[in-house]
Amino acid sequence: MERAAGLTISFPWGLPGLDYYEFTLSPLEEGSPFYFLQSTSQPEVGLLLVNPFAVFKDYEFELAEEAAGQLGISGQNQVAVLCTVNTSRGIESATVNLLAPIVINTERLVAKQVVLNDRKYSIRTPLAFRPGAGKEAR
Amino acid sequence: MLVLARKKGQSVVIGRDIRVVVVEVAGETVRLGIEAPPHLEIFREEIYRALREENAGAVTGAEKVMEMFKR
Repeated sequence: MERAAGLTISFPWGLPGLDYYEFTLSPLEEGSPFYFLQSTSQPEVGLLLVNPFAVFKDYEFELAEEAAGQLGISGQNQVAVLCTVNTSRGIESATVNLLAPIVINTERLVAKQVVLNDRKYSIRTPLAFRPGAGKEAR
Repeated sequence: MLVLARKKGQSVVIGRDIRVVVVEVAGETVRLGIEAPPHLEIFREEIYRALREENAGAVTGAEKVMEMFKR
């Protein structure tokens, strides 16, 4: 499987628990809701990400003013949201962090993991895993 | 640890740029207002710890991911 060339995105606040501040983001496959986020300084460090809106139809949140200000976001058309997928307990037990999505300013290529004030979403939301998810719908 | 007594509406200043105000005291719960420069992130501690653990646990390699998605 060939991976498309990615976008370089800076994380000025880092990601809690990880000491890396710049990553390359690329979709796993064209049209897939899954992405791979790879540290530019430590290529063996990566995170599987998913577009939460593609797999959790009811997911929604309002971006807090502070976070929007930090990221320089003023409109919806310059935002992308991706969530980390944890496959450490096996692919069948994969979970998604819906509590703290990664919010990206797609114009400035700056991102930040934002903890939602709304506590209705879990840091470990089970993902009904289908590697081809999102593709068969087309 | 420095311990200070503060009443509702009173605040504490940390360094030049950080101010913590006691907004409300209701029973066991204290609501705090925090003013800090935008380069600083502010978390509830238990969430910060959970997030650190979750992010570190979610780290994986490109090859492993490719392998999972081939099936």
